[in-house]
Amino acid sequence: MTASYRIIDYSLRPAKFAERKMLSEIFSRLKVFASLESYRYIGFGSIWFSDCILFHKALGVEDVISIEKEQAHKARFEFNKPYKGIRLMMGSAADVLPGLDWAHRSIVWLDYDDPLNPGILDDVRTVATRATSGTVLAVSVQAEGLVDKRPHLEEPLEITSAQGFRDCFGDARTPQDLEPAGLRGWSLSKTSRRIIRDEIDAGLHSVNAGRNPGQVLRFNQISAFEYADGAKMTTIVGVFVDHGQNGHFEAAGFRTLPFFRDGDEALRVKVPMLTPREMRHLDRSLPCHDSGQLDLGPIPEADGKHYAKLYRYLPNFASFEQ
Amino acid sequence: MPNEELHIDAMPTKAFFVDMLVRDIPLERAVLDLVDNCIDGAKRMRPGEEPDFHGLNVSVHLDGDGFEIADNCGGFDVETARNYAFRFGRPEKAASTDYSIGQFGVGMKRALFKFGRYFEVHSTTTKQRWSMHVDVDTWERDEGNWYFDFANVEEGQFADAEVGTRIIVKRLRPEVSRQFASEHFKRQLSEMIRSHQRQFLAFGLAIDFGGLHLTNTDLRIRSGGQFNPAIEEFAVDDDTDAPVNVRIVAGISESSPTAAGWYVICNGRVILSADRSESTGWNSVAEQKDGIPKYHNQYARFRGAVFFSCRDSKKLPWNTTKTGLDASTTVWQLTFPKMLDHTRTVINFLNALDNSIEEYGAKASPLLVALNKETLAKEVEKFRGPATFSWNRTPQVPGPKTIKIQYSREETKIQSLMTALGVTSAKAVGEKTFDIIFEEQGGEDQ
Repeated sequence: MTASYRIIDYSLRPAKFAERKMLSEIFSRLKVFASLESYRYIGFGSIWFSDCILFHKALGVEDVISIEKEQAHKARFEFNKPYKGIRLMMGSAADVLPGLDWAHRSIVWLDYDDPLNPGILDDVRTVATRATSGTVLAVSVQAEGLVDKRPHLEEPLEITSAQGFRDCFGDARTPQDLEPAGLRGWSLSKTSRRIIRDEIDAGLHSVNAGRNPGQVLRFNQISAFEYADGAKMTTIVGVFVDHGQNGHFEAAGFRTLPFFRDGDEALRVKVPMLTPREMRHLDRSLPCHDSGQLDLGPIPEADGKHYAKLYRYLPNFASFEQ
Repeated sequence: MPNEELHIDAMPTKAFFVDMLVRDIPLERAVLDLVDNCIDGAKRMRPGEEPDFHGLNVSVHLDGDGFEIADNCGGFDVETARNYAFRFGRPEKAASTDYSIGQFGVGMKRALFKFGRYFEVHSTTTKQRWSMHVDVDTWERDEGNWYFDFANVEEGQFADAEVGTRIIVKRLRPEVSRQFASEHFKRQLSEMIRSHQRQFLAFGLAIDFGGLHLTNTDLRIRSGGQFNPAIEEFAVDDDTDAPVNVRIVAGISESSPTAAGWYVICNGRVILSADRSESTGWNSVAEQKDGIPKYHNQYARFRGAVFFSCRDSKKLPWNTTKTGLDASTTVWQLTFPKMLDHTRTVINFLNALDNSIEEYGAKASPLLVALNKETLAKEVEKFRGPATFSWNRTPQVPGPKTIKIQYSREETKIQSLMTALGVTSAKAVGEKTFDIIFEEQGGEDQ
C-alpha cells in the first residue's frame, strides 16, 4: 500500500489548511487549563509536519511528538523534520499511544487518511481512557465510504449496510438505528463522528466508574468539520474536562467561536472560488457580522458569504499572485 | 414478656451448620486456604511488599487416611486462636495482616470440617505452645455448646526451631478420602498450589507437597535487543495510607497455547492464570481486531501479567474468598482499559510475526530469526517500568522484500501447466508463470 504522503501534497489542500487554522484557534483557548507552553502535541506529522509546525509556531508548544508508522522511510522523516523539538516516534498509534505519559496535558490530533475502522476506534479509546482533564482530542477520518479489510476476506468489502458494519466493527460499536443512508454521502461523515464520540464516551464510562465524583471526566465537543479537498474528510474535536474544571471550560469561550459545534452537525468547510482581486474587494468590508451588509460587487453571494465566514483561516493565495 | 409459645427456635443444629459451611467450597480450594494461612503467618513474620521468605517452609501431606499441613511461619497464640482463628466469621476488630491473602475468619475451620471428622491443631509461638483436638461427631452431638476446648496451653520461651503450626485431620469423609488417595487429584492440587503461590515461592518460601519440593511456575517474557515488553506502573488511592500499586507487564514468550494469556496476581497470589476470556478482555479485543473472532493459537506467544499489591487486601480486585476476580472493583475498572491497550499492541506484533512466518517460512522469517537471536526469557517479576512495547521493525531481510500472491484457477488448467512447464506443484506453476511474464515484459529493466 502506498503511504498517503507520497500521493498528496498536504500544503495544497485549502480546506485542510483552514481546518488546521481553526483547530489552532481552539487550542489557543486551552490556556485556561494550563499554559500552552506546558502542553504536549501528539500528531501524525507525515513528511510535511504542517500540524507540528503550526502548533509550535502559533501556540508555542515545545514538546511535539510525531507518530509515524512507515518504518522503511524513517531517514526521510528525520530529514524533513523541521525543528529539533519534534520527536519522531516510529510505530503505529496503537504501539506508541499507550506508552506515553498521559498525566501530561496534551493536544492530540489523530489525523487518519483512512475511513473509520476498528483500529482507529481502538486508538480513540486508548486516548479516552488515559487522558487527563484539559487534554484535547481531535480525530479526522476519511468519509468517502467504509471498507471492511478483515484479513480473512479475499478482497476488501465496501460496507453499505448495518449488517456489513456490524460484521466489521462488532455489536458493541454498531448504533442501533444505523441505516444504509447513514453510510453514504455526507451522512457518513456524521455517522463517523457519532461513532467516534460514542467510543470516547464508552472509554470514559469504563474509567469513570473508578473515579471520585470530582474527577469524573466528560468529553465536551467543541467543533466538527467536514470538507472535500479531494476525498470527503471529517473531524471531531473536543476537550476532556473533569467535574471540578467545568468552570474552566465555560471560561475558555469555546461557545463563542463561529465554528463551535457540540451536536451532530458539522461546519462544512467550502473554499470559495474567488480571484485575488475579488478577495481583496471583500476584505475591505470584513469583519462583517451581518452577511447582508457585505459589499459583494459582482461576486456570487454564496461564495462571498463563505469567504466572509472563513477568510481568517484561508491560505493566502493572493500573495502568490502579486 | 417473652413467651415460649411465641418463639421459634431458629438456632441451626451444629450438623446443619457444618454441612452448609463446607458445601460450596471445592476440596482443592480448602487445601489452598490452609496454605494461605501459612503464608499469612510468613507475612506477619517478615512484613513488606517484597519480603524474603528464605528459611520458611510449608509442608503438605495427604493420602486416603489423613491430611497434615505444617509450617514454621511463626505460629499463632492462644489469644488469636480464641478470638479469631476458631470463631466463625471475622470479628470487626480483628487485627489484619498487611498484604494478606488468607481467609483467617473462615478458611481454616471450613477446610478442617470439609476434610474429616477429627482434627488436631498444634501451634507454637516464641512465648506459647498450645494444642486442640476436636472430635466432630462428639462436638456436633453436644448441641448448644459452641466452644472448642484447648487440650493444653503452655507459657514459656520456645526455640525458633519449634515455632510453627501443625494441623492434622483424620477420619476423612469418604469422598475426601477417595480424592486424597488419587494420584491424579494430588498432581492437580500440587500444580494449583505451585501456580497460585508462585510469587511466594519466588520470594524464597519452600513448599513441600507429599515429599516433593514445589518450584515456581515459569512465567517468563522475552526481552533484549530491540524487543521489550510494555510495562506500565501506577497507583490507585495513592493519597491514602493504603495505596494499591499496579504493575502491568505484557509481552511475548515461547509459543505455548496452554501458557498464553493474562495472569492476575493479587498480593502475590495468582487469581487468574493464562486467562484468555472476556474477563481479561481477550475476546472483546479480538472481536474488534479485524478478523480475529477469538483467541487463536497464533497468539500462543502472548504473556501478560498484572500485579496488584496493597497493605489492605480488601482493596484488591478479588472476590471475598480471594480466589477469583471481582471485575466490579474500582481498581480493576481503572486497570482493565490499560490491559486492553497492551493486549492490542502485542497482538499487532504477533500478527506481523505471523505474516512474516507465512511469507518466509518459520526458519527464514527475518522477524522470528531476530526475535530468537536478540531476546532471552526473563522472569516476569524482574521487569520494572515504565516501558513501551517495542520490537525490531527492520530485521535483516534476506534479499529484497517479497509479497505473497495467492489465487485460484481451475485444477485441470493448473495440471496441464504443470505438465507443460515440467514442474510438480501448483505453487511452482504460479512462480514459473510469474517469472515468464516478468521476463517477457522486460524483466529487471522495466
